[in-house]
Amino acid sequence: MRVKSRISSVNLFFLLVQTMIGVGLLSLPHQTHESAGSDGWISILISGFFIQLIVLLIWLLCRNFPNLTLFDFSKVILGEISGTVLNFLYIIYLLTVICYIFIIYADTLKRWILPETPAWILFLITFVLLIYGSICNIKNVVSLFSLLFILILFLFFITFLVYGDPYIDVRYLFPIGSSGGWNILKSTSDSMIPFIGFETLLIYFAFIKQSKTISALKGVFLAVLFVTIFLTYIVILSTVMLSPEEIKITPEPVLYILSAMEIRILSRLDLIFLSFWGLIVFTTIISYTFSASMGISKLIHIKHKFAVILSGTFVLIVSIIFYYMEITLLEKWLKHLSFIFGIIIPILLLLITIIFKREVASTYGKK
Amino acid sequence: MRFKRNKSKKSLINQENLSIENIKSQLNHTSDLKDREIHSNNQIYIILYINSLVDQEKLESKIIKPLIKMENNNILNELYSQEISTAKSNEIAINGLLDGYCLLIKKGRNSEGFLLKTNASTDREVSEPIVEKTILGAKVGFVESLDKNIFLLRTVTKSPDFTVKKYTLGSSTTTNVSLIYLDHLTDPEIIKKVEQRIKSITLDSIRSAGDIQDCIEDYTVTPFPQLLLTERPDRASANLKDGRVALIIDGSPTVIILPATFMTFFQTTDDYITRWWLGSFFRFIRLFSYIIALILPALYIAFVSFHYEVIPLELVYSLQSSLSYVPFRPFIELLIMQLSLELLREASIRLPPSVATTFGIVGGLVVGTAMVEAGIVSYGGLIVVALTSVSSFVQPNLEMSSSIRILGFPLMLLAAIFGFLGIVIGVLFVLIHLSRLTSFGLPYFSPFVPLNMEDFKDTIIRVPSWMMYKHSKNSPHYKQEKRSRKWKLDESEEPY
Repeated sequence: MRVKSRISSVNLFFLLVQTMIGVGLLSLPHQTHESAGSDGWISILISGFFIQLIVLLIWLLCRNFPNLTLFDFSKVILGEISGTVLNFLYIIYLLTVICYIFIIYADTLKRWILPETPAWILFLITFVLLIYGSICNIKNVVSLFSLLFILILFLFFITFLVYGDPYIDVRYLFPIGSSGGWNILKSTSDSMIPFIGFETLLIYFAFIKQSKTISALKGVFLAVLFVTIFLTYIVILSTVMLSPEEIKITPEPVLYILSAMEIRILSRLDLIFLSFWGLIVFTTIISYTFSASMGISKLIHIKHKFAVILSGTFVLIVSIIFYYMEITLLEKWLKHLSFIFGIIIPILLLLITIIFKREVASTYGKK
Repeated sequence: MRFKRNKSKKSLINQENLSIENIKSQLNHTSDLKDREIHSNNQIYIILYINSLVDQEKLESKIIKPLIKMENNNILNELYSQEISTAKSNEIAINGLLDGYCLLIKKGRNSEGFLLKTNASTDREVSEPIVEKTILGAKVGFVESLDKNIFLLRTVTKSPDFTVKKYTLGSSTTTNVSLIYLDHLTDPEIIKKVEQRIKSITLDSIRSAGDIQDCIEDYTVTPFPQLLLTERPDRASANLKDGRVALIIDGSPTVIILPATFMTFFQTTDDYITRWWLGSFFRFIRLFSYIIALILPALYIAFVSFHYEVIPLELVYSLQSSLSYVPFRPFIELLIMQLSLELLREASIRLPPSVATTFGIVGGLVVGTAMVEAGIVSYGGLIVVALTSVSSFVQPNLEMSSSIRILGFPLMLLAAIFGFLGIVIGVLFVLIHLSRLTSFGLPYFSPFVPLNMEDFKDTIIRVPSWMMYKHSKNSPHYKQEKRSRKWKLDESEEPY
């Protein structure tokens, strides 16, 4: 089924930025520092460049099937049965990502803001917001995201307040490249996690007005560029603010920096930062739930509303189970899963499309 | 039962031809229905009218007198009535009678009658609006008469495109409603939608503007008003010029303006009369106060009961010293205060103005101070509640400021449960809700969602009027010439 709504390239920019900037933000400097030392920001830049290429490939794939989402054109490429299996796998993957975000979200909030509130209450309220936020059409999603984009700029603003700190030391960045080229490259795979979100393009490209022209890519390129710069900025900021020994023991460097700051009327900036961060994470959750529910509703032919409730319930149960059993397990899985579903499968699909010359089947009709 | 009777009556009306007996019986032989026979020029005329609705003097001098003195049989040339129409069926005749017309029937030819305009007007004098006060704006408010309101609107909106469409609503008692718009500025889509929605109203009777609002607004389950109610002709006229539509209901001094977006409720007439710096500043103050009124109580609860580490230490000490005597949790404390404030507010509306001042002093000052001294609320709580209510009074629109009251309590509750996070969650709910609302198909949270830079010129700030080349999005045809300040170029002196 062709999608009926259309969004512009600018809308796609907001959609992608809000999907990509999410839970990875807080712990990113810590993670990159583990493998690349003070050169973490270089590996972020490299993976940003890498993501641009992947996005280009995804566009090359999607432009063959205008106004069709992944859940439709997978059947065209792979045939009815294996296409359905692939769709199912993608839905599971998207739901896993939501579970991961849920867990990190609740865990961070519990540790930083509400230490005595039971975690399941946090899961529950996130669940309610998820349901309320995702039962809508794509236009509503876009308008909400463009509204909340101000918050990302606000996060930028909050981090500016840090520069009053006397302990800031640019020399922590030098010598550039000291951890060695191989280590930097190796840590690139670690810094993929904060970039996940670009795979939703497989679905969102269907909504764009002129998917065949290069102008469709403009918003996407700018979005990835924006995210890359934002993440690089955060990593550089943490590297400069905290000594290498400190970063090693702080899982969320940005919050540590902010909690030490004090301006006249507000003594704990990290609380403010976390609250706005919470909203931004939420847009990621809505975006993923929207995509996953779209897949579910296409897979078992139910209304979008019920698909959202179904996926929300699934996420709620699974994330509570994982939260109380093994928090880090999902993260390990996700590293490999995002690599498979975000990069390998789209490339494979593209190759099959090119080699076997798959075109939009007659069931969908010419445009 | 009532409905059934109406129906049978209606069908009766449609069947019959014009006959006086029928009309009388359908009006239940009401005692103020009078008729008079006049013999003139060898003809017998019967005049039928409802005594209470008719201007006696008009009837005597303009209808009866010329009729008696009439020399030929051409009625239409002899009568002085300004509006004459023929009534061919009982239904038209009865509706005319109820509007204050008198029915003139030539005896012998019962099939045709004339409706002559003789209605009495009960208009009160045009006076200054009571609710929507301005400093420099016009001192004219709408009144209860439909025709006079249209007159008031037309005098400030002179244009050949000024269009009026009349509707009669209500199935058991009827009310006249007029739809007014400027044809060259208004989006035809919106007019079509409004007409469709008005025609679909099947209410028994229309009591006030609220009934129509209930029937035609996009969303009913929302605290945000989507139609602007105003009692100022200048405001209504300004909105017409922005490409909006006005609905005037007979008998109601409030006029409905639609479609209204969120920012419409923050505009006042004074913004456009004062210079644009001042106008923009007032806009900003109003928006700021809206946010303050919405989240200040919740912030207080969150800070005091969860995140006291956020506030500077000195403030914590002074807050704590007054809080330690209060036996309630901050949420309960604020709830008591807010509710008693709501009581004061509600009570002061019903009081005559002379008592209200005294009441304000007793209610506000005495009760407030006594509550703190008795240890029921703290000074901090009192300050917060007072600031909140002052901020909500800043709102120029009554309905918009009541949306704060409705949204404030859930936010307070969320803050009491989750602290700062609760406020954020609550605000997110509101934002999601706002970004989905539409008013007659237009996005409600308009300049923000979807982002539209052109519309910022008359929402958060008010730019000088010569800079508004294009008015809001709902008037796509309208474009202002850019020349108003061209004289500046002509007058400017060369530096050398």
